[in-house]
Amino acid sequence: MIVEENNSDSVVLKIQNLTKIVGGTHQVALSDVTLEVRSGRVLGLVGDNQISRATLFRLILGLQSPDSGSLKIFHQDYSEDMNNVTSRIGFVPENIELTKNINSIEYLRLVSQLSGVRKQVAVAQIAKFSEILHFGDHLGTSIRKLKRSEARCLALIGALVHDPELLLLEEPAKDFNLGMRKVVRRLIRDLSDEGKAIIIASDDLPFLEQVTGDLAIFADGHIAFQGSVMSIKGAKDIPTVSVSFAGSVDRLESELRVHVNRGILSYRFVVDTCHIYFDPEMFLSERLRLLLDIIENSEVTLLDLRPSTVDLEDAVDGVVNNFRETRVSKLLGLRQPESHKSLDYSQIDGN
Amino acid sequence: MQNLIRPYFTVGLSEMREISVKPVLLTILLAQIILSVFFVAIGAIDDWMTSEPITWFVILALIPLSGIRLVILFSLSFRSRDRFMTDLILVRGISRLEYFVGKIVGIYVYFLAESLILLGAVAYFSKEFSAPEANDIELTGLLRAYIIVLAILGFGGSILSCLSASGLGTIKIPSIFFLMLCIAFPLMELAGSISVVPEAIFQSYGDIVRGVANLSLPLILLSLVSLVATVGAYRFFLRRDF
Repeated sequence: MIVEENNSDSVVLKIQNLTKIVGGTHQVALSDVTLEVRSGRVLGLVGDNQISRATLFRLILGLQSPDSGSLKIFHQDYSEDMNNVTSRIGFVPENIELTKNINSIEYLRLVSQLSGVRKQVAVAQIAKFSEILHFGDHLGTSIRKLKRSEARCLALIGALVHDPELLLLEEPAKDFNLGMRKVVRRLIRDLSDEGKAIIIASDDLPFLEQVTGDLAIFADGHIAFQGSVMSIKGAKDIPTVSVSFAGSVDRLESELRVHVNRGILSYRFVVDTCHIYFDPEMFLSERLRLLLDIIENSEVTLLDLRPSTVDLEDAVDGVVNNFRETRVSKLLGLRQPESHKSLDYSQIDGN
Repeated sequence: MQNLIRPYFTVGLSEMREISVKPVLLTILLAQIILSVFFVAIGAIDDWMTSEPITWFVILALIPLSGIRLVILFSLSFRSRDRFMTDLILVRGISRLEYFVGKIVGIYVYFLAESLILLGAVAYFSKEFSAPEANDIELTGLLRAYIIVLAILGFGGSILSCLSASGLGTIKIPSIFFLMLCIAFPLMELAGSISVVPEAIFQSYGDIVRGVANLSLPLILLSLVSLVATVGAYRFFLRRDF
């Protein structure tokens, strides 16, 4: 489960067994997705494929209809006419393409009118968020002349002007410098503290790690993992070593590949260093013996060996790879070895 | 009541604002204005043009250029990738019905007002140069000319909106529309309902304006087809994934 509370009143979004096939190629964007988001929580959506995340947002916004499964927003079932629901949602897409022939304040006035916000309320909201996002100087600027980061600020103000209860953000830190990333981070935290539910779809894992409490990882349209960031990073103490070596990367990789799900959860190469994640159920002596066997068989020279911590990127990669392998094994009817069952990341419980 | 009307009104207004600031559409409007001045000026020196300035202006300038603007406008209108629509309007609590009706009405009102101003201007300035038999610059003639302009634009717009809402690509919409015209006109000619020879078009339009030909039957037919096409467009739009 993503959150600990059992109070069903705070559930803002509840998705059950949602499936959606998109495009002429009939690609499975979402397959049997079950997800729950509560007010005051920030959920990060990551994964190998942007289509899944984008499709999920479009389904929530009523721009697409699901093929099967149920979608409840603010306790209301999905229907063709979702205008009363979408008026309580704020959305900032990844690609900001605003109408270019008006200026910033005209744009904000237009979105306020479309959202049915009273003039005084709109003015107060615009003033508040312009100040937070340091956008006050650009309110009179033509949208055509705005830089990409400024256009993103404008879109963000536009998404907040009607005080939404659920906020959907695609790559919210994209185009921003370090200072602005900090500002956006603080804004997201403040909004979450105010009780807004926020879903962030992003590949910017360092940013996500700083703002989200929970993660949902997509792999091939499925949710491969749901849980807290801490749980995915190693609440289960996944033993990790960084190996510096000299020799053929290909040989080392082929040797490591043989041992995936046979003592090794996953591995990742960064320049001439390889991060190896071991099965937590193995003893230290077994891990060392396995590592030395791999080094010997791949005929590389060991230069350095040190324990390391799991970084989020590696953990996400591990989840996705492990999910795929498990799925392929299931599809082919292969039985997983007994010792590997506990390695399934999706079974790691964040609580 | 205000809450019921507000979404349609806001969408319609935002649509009119979009039309009025799009550079391509503005350029074509400028061409229409220049042509209206041209038709007024040429009426003073040409006997033929002096007799029916509005008819000439409508057939040679207003309908073709407004038609091109409608084709451009609708080719871009209901695209799946129209970020303006999806990111700004449909995600803000505006229903598909409100969006569709607001948009169509916004476009139609814009073209209604623009055609009225242009026709009125041409009629007003032509008055001094026109021959006495130029009844298309009199109020009843002008009104008939205006009504037929609206019916033709409404007909073209509804067919185009239907093509656009069905999800066809930006290039396919004008191509299919012109293909439809190319098939429809010869068929109508074969059926004997209209003649597509330019001289005959001027003649029949002039007859309507002068009150010689009956306006009601073609008007009813055009309105019916427009209505069916608009309902079809809405049905397509309702089912679309964006």
